[in-house]
Amino acid sequence: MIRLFRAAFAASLLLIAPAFAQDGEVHLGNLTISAPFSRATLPNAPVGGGFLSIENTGTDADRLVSASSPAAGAVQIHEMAMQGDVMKMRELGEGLEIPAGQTVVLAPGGFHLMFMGLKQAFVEGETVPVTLVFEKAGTVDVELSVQGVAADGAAMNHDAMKHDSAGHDAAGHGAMNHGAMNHDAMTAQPADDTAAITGMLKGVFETPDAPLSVEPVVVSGEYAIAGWSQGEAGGRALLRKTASGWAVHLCAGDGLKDAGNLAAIGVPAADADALAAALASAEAHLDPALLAKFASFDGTVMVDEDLI
Amino acid sequence: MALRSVRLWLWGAVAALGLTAITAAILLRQPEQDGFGKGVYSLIDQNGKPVDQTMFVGHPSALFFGFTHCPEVCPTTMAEMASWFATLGDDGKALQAYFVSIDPERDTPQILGDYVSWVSDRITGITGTPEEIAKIAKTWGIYYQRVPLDDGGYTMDHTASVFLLDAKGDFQGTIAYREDQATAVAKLRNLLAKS
Repeated sequence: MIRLFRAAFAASLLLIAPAFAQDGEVHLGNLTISAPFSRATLPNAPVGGGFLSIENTGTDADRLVSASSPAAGAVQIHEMAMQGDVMKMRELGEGLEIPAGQTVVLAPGGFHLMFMGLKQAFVEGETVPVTLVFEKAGTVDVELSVQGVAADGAAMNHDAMKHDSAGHDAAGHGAMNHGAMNHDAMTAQPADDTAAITGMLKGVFETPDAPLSVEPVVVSGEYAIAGWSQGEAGGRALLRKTASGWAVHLCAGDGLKDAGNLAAIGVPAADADALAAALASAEAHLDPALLAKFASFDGTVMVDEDLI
Repeated sequence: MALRSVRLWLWGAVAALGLTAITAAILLRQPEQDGFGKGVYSLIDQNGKPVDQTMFVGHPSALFFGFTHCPEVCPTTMAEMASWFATLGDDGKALQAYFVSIDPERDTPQILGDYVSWVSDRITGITGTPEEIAKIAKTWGIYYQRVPLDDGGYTMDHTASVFLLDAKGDFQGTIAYREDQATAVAKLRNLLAKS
């Protein structure tokens, strides 16, 4: 799952990088540091996060080995990941590698600078100075602009993301997907679609005592079918992508295997054929017991009729 | 025309079988009356007042487990919760929210109270002894684990979902971390309508 997030992460960076190009860039040897920002902190919160992009245009890898700031007792390099509905945080004791020719993005939901022991609250509109130390390129000072408590990017980036800070994608815990979570980009990123659909279904249907498995997910254009199982129950969901993310149209059993049924429901014929073929292929190697669960879904439950 | 007849058939199927499926789903989610979300614990709120499991009775609730040293998930969820309250306005006035600390050794009532006051006056910070916090966490299936940091301090891994409870204090669903704002508000409206 973490690997999927990383893939989404990499995709998001391709999309948002150009928006950063004008402003807030700092050059240090072969490294370009851009879009530095932080988030306002809540009363008494003793920690804060720092986010930025580091591009390595050189031919050798470099490494962010440490960071410090007069605004905090210590600054550590951390990685956060959502595993199911659990947030996990890890300190990267060895620092963070910046591979040659690549850009590493420190963003909400993933890698970040963690400011520990804040001297005072981070206030929206102010800046936080931080000194970054790289193994090869050396040391550089960067100013993080403090955005809102739940901001996803430096201020100038908001238009490019087509999001405001309160409008989140429907991927549940897909915080890393934010930059990529627009329609055109998603079409080109089937791995992101699978992650988004899995996250959304788990977000809605999973409970602590009833874990939900989502497999397989097949996508054609803005339509998708996802197999799911929860305990002894299971079925298939027909989904459609909307401006705000994937949503479930209806749940059924074996009926969704048939292209004719899909077309009759309103899925365009080409997508219906592609989905049925992809589903047959994806399910061919699944455990028959799992397929039996999918088949056990009796009848059809309409979730959002207007969707298709 | 074909589409319409299929839809009618589907709705027929919903009428005949949907109820069964929904009932089954509810039964699967709530295996037993004294199971998920049902526990006994003694905690204190942000004002130092003793509270227990009955705090969730009498109004719908949104319940989150976090800690004030939390760099991202908790402030983000608090910011989203603030926007839920703002969006619901008077429609949501029955709703009460709770922030239960899974780091009670650092989160005193006063620290918690100031922290959650940023969100709304309808969210209450809850802390207590580690033993009693463990009881409420177990009740709600909360995973939380200390993770040591190089400087000798620690951070916490923890379940990041918001739990929704009806006016009887019974579990009704969750809002996932960073759930779409419209979906989250729709879930809260459903909860308010049911309660």
